[in-house]
Amino acid sequence: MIDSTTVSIEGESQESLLRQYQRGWTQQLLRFLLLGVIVFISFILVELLNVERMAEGIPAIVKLLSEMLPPDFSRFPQWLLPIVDTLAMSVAGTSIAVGLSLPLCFLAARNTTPHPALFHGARTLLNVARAIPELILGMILVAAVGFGKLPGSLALGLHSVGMIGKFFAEAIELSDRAPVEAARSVGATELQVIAHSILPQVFPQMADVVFYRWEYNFRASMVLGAVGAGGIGLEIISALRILQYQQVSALLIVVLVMVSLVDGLSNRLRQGFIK
Amino acid sequence: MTHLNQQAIVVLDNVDVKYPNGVMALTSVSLQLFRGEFVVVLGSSGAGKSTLLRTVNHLTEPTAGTVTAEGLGQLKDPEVLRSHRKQTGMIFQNHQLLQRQTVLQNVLMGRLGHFSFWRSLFPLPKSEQQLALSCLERVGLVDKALTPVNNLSGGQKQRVGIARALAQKPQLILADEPIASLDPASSHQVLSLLRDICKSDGISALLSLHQVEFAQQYSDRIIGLSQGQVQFDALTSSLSLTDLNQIYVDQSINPNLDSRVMSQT
Ligand SMILES: Nc1ncnc2c1ncn2[C@@H]1O[C@H](COP(=O)(O)OP(=O)(O)O)[C@@H](O)[C@H]1O
Ligand SMILES: [Mg+2]
Repeated sequence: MIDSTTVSIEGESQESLLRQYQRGWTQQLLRFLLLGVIVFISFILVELLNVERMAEGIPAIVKLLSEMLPPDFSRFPQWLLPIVDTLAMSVAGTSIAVGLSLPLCFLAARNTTPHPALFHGARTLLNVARAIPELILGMILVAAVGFGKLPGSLALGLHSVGMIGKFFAEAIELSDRAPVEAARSVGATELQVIAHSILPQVFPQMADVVFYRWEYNFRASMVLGAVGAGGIGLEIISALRILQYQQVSALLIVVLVMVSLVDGLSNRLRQGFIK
Repeated sequence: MTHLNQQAIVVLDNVDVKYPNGVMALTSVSLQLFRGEFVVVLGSSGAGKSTLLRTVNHLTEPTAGTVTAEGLGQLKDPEVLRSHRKQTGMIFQNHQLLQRQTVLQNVLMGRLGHFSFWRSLFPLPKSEQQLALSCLERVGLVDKALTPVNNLSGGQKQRVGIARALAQKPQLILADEPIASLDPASSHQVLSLLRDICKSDGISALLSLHQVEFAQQYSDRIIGLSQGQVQFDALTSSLSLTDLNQIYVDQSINPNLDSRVMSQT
């Protein structure tokens, strides 16, 4: 008896389950189709599907690549200073960001902010900083203070605050409340609570983010060179302008080596801080 | 009640604690803590033990009534509160230690209240470090001074918590279920260590426990708490096992046990 009822209920619900499954599958298919259409339209808009242009473009790219060979390192001694400049820009920019983030992140973390208004203010500031690309910031700052590494570093710093400050704030919000109570209970002031029970907890995450951002800023500082911030980026742009493609390829090799070195060094330092 | 030494160090007067969600955790609690006493608060889970202890150093602020520290004044005053906290050690159920920091760094946290913010950013004076080491010596952990806390066992962590409280040179130690996460052997070790230290240094102690046997064995005085109210407050020697079990019995036969919790919804 019990068996027969279960079977009949199952028969009914089976139908509706299968119908739901079918509907889910159809919706998924429609989603993929829509996505496909959007991709297709984008390809048309950027002329990827323009056969004529592609037919001319691909051989031109191959020709340019062949003109890049062999790499010409004859100007290497003149690149040393720009390499140092680019490195300095990335270090200075990252440091500016850390310096600005440290006070901001405590305002932007729910558990340490002194006032909700300051919380929202700080969060908005961080979002704005993150929203403006460093290239745009760089162009604006070059217009304001003139060419050079100074506007480059400032652009990197101001943009990085957005990401570094946000990560700092999130690490603080995720920190363990227990040691905070312990510090309060011994009569520590609010600043001491932050310095002695929150900072030690979040320090490894902070170091991690900072070194990751330094790697990113090193690459970004080369791009900034193109808008007049100096460094190795400027060398690449100049070589392109005077059609010295063999120097361009040599510069790209230098960049590749530098990026690998910076990534390796950053990983080393990060590990030292985390353990 | 007869107390050898009738000097009160903390006085709670008609203290209520009502949490923002409407739970009435303490209702008109009045009590005095005397110098050198070893007092246990007994009560089932949810009775308000943690709230009571946290009220004594205003980690939780009363919604009515006052807490007064003898010789300092009411804790409402921020300056009084800081001075009171400096001389009141707190031991937590989950030790509340910084896990990645060393044992010594954690014990030195007990000294924070004595230094300005800027001074505390630099290593504390050698005398302070020696004080911290001597506290570790008393709890038998001096050989672990430079070990990160997360490498220690539960009982050892609790002893670091005791050392941190001792480093404050407290006149009162609050301990919220200090043995709740320990096995019986470690529990006895921690309780007798705590009692010996308090007795030899003349420190008053207010502990919360939920095991009647431990309370009877170690305390001078027992405060029975049930549904946020003091059910009894008497010298341990004057209480029988039946008296003590009463607070648990009262709870289980009381049909309104969950009324406070339910009233919030
Ligand atoms: N932060 C809080 N917010 C709201 N209710 C709380 C909070 N802390 C404790 N309570 C409630 O207050 C009552 C007493 O809790 P507590 O003091 O932790 O008791 P005990 O330590 O004896 O278990 C319980 O009903 C508990 O749910
Ligand atoms: Mg509790």
